[in-house]
Amino acid sequence: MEYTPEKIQEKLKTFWRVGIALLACTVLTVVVAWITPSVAVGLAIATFKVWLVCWFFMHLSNEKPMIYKVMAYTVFFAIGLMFLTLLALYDPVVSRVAH
Amino acid sequence: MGAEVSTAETEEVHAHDDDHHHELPFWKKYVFSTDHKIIGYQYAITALIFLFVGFYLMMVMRWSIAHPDKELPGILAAFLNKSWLNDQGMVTGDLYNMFGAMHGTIMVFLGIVPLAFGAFGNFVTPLQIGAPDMAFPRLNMASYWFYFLGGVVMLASFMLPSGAAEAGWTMYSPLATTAQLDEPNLWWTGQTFWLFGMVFLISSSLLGAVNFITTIINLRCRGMTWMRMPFFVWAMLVTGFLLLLAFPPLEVAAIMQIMDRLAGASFFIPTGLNFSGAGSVDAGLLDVAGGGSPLLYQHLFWFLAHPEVYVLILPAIAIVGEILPNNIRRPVWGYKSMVYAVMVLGFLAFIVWAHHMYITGMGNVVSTFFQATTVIISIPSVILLTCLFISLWGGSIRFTVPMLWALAFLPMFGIGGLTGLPLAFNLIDLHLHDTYYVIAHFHYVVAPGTIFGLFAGIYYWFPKATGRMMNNTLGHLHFWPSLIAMNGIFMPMFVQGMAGFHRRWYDGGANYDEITSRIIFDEGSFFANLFKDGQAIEMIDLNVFMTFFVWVLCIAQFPFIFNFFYSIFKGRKADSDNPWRATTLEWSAPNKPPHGNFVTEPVAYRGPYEYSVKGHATDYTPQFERGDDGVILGEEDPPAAAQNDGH
Amino acid sequence: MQIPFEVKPRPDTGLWNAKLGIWLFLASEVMLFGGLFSGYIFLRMGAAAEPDYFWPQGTLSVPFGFINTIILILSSVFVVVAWLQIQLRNFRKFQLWMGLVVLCAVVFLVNKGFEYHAKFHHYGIKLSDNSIVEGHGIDDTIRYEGINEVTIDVARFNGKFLNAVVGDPPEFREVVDGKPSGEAFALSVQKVRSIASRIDDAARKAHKVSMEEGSKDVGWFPAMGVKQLILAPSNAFAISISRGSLRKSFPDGAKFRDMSLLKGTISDKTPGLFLHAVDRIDLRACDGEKPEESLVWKYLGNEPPHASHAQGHDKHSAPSISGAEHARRAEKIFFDAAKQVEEEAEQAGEEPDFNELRNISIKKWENPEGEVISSEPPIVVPWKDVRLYSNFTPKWNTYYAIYFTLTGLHGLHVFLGAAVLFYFGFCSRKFYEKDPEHFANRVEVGGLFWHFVDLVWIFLFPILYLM
Ligand code: HEM
Ligand SMILES: [Cu+2]
Repeated sequence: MEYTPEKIQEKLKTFWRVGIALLACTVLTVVVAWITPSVAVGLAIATFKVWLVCWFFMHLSNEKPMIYKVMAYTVFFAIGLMFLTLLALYDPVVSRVAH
Repeated sequence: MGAEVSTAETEEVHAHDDDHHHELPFWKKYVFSTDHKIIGYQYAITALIFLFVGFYLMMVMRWSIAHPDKELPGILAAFLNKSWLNDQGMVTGDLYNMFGAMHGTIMVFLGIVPLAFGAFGNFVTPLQIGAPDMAFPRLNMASYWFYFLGGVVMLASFMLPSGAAEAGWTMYSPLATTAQLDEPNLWWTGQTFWLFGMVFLISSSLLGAVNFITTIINLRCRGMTWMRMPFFVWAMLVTGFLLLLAFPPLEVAAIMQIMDRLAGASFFIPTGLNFSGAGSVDAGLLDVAGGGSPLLYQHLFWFLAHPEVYVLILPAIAIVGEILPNNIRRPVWGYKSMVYAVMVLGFLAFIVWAHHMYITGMGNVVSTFFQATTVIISIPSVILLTCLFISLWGGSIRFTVPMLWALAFLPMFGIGGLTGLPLAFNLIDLHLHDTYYVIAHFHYVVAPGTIFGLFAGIYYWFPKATGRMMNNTLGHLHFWPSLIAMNGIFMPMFVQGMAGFHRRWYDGGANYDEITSRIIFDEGSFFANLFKDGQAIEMIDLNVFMTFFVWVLCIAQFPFIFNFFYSIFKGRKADSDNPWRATTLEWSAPNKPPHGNFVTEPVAYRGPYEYSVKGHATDYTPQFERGDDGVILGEEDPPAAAQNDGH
Repeated sequence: MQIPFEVKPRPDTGLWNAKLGIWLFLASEVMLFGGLFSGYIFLRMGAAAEPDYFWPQGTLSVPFGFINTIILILSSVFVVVAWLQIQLRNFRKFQLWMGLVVLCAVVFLVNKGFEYHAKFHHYGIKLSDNSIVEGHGIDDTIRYEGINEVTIDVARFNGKFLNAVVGDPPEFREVVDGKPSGEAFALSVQKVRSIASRIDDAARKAHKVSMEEGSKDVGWFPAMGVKQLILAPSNAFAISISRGSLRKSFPDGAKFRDMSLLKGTISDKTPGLFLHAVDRIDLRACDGEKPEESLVWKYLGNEPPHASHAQGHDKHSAPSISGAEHARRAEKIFFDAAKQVEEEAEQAGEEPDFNELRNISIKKWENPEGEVISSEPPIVVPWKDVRLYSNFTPKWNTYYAIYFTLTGLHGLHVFLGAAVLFYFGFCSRKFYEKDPEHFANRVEVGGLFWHFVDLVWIFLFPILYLM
């Protein structure tokens, strides 16, 4: 990618805007947690913030397919690691019988 | 944009570099080298040494199993701390546990993976893709030194008053967390050293994996499109991903166990764990909060350790995949299906881990899920093996020494893999878990499997590394006894395992008469007369049989050691840079390749296994041979762009 | 030799090496923190299934976490801005922004330090009926008197217990067949070794004789050598030591980390574990039917007889009120507050929240009439009723274990990342001038790592501080 000064100024603006959005989201999380300690909402906001960071700061908006592939593969297994282990803790069949 | 480096430029750079090369002092050239080949040799030598250390530990264990009531022979006792033996010089249970744990650890993490991935991967991969070196040479050096440090820590743990770790190579908590708690200083215990050693080894593997994947993706030479990559490179790519993504959870497990041991946390210690029994110091409740989960440890451990078993086997399959076509003088059958199979394996390997945990009391749904994925993963494994087998059909086989090892690999790996299938099923595993059957299963894969593959690789690439061939006769002397001994050791384990022999009996079952005294050959039968003066042969007698073959296997390695060193200096000179008449790119580099590898810019004009092409003058058409039929990429076209997107 | 694509991207993949490399590294980092998060989920869900363990939600200071989040987000913006300055080839400005990033990192770590410090100085005691009191100013000195027998483990003996002896260490004599014998000697590691080897040699000789006589039934198991020595002091002595440094303490003896076992009785001067100022009482897991029955009420307000106990903690409490008065107030606050929770729930037509009903800060409370009561009672928990005590470190519960592991590892990443960025900012001028494009790549790579560190914190903040 070529970086012309105009493009850079433009980027600069985006970065600051994203930064402000991130700060706003942080305030939002705290406020929401204060109203209701909902795990789902908290995680949803965090995920959105993470998306902002990845998409803009880490230039994923404009990345090569190879990087997407690697990261998709990774995130898939990270999620698998979290949920399959959980499944091992809470067996739906057994818990249905038990209750 | 065309390729960056034109031929002229490369040559210039080379010339310049060669001058520079000669100025390097010894320690920079051979000790802190950044050259992928030197690092490969370093890995190879270190790993071979560790393999022998692991082998030694195993001999002590096998002695104890076969002769629990006999003094350890002096030749074995010479290398260990005498106070570990009991007062009659016999192996104690504690010693057995320690050696068992360290045998597994050393063989897997310090022996096979470094040899397969570190040594062969390092030496061969850049050569096969036509790269001057790894993408990050200094990182490469760092990986080796992390590995070395990890090894030093592991070995040092033997010198501690507590001895080395002793809770099995899997280091299951809470056993591992509570082991050796009786030491005054918990930092100086084998268990703790093990954990720190693992952190080093994991760092090494992670750096290595990053380096390998980057190299393969970004440093392929002109014309080396994805589907022209030798299968070995594919396997390294997948192995790299396995290491990259599977090791971090183990690192987490190790860190958590460190916290449990040293900071009093209870990640893996359940509430109300009562600590008692032989060997424990403070019977009663532990002074910890509890609330942790032993199951969590197993999840984190096996999330690594299942992919790890593929890390152990893939390089071996890959080496065999290189040697077979070369020695049957025809392409491997189904190159593409092998590539896809190995990719599928790389994916599935991450979602089968809990098949090691069937009897932990996980739920049914999970067990069923993991049973299903485990059965599915055998499909790509079988595809790989089948492709290699079918390749043999109709080939004109040259029985060179590397080929012998490669050929033996096929049925050995086959036995190991097929015996994994029953284990995949919940119900059968209930019976077989933690018996010698499991031991036999995975040793067939890694011992006569992977290790044979690695030996094949050593014999095969030896001329590239040293310019000399290894001795043929000694090779045969190495191969045949090894083959027989390996089977003599591991085949009876299946029998014992199905009979219910537990895998961690240090006395080989002498105290478990009911299981171990079952009769195999009746009194007075042929074998009874032959081996036991007519007395009936019992299950437990197989222990003696197996231990005998351990000695055979040990002796069979001497020709190899001798051959290795002899041939480096005095072996027959390789007749050319391509003594096996092979097709892949590493054979276009001069023997003992210089820093930077290639003299002229390497270009891949065709697929990797073009043997016996009709109309070609020789029975092999190297990738680097420019011909009318070869598509020349990289001069007219931007390199490989079209092919890549399809992937 | 030149490695291709170090600076310019490879045409077909569009990537230069280090970029691909850092993303792969980040992939492994995702798995690292993924593993930790899965541990977090596992432990938290597991805690929900435990009858007597409650995940301590909301015990961290939200303002601290909030400020640190803001700081990291700002530093993330600064990093990209700095990188853009390099694209503009404006090294001075780049240094400015980089300096800000490093400054942010330092502030973040200092903040973390304060947070850790507070945790290290806050204690919890779990009583034998699973009631919990929290507070600060602990004294776990335990004193044993009338020690007349010492058993030591020869291989492990390190002589540490001699430091705990009150007054001068006595001389010891070996106990053979139940009777002290031989000369009295001053105890030291060398002395123990020499006695052991003397006995060892004798035993070996005897063993040899018995082997020669053909006695076959010496089992396989006994390992070689003497394991224990029993010693009798010339006169009974006393030790005084922090219980935390003992391996185990019994009513009739103390076991040191080196396995030395000292037989004696616990002194009246140290009847129990002393916490100077309790600020929270948590009876959620308490065994009794009713919170009134908890052992806490029995021991709250007691002060230790031992003078040294109160040392240094005076500033925490108003000296005019006695411990008993503090305890009375604490009890009042606890039950009044609980009643209030119940009433409020009743008005709203809901079940009262168990967590608020039984887990109450007694430091300060404003009753409905607007009257403010405060209390910081001392407590002495008899040793036999101490199930677990610790500061708020990994030992206290799995929550703090995972909290310290996660934030500790994250902090390590912050530290390393900042060190690298500092290097780029302030030690790489020459490299920049030689090859600005390559340098820009490096900064980009460092930045990517820094964003990842930020990104981990974005998850950590809600899951550790808020929910
Ligand atoms: C056809 C594919 C395979 C299947 C279905 C399979 C299945 C299994 C199962 C279910 C177990 C657990 C047994 C138990 O603990 O009760 C197991 C153990 C094991 N497998 Fe495999 N396996 C296969 C291939 C391999 C390969 C290629 C390796 C490579 C080295 C391997 C290495 C191991 C090891 C090391 C263990 C035992 C670990 C331990 O408990 O210490 N397996 N296998
Ligand atoms: Cu497995």
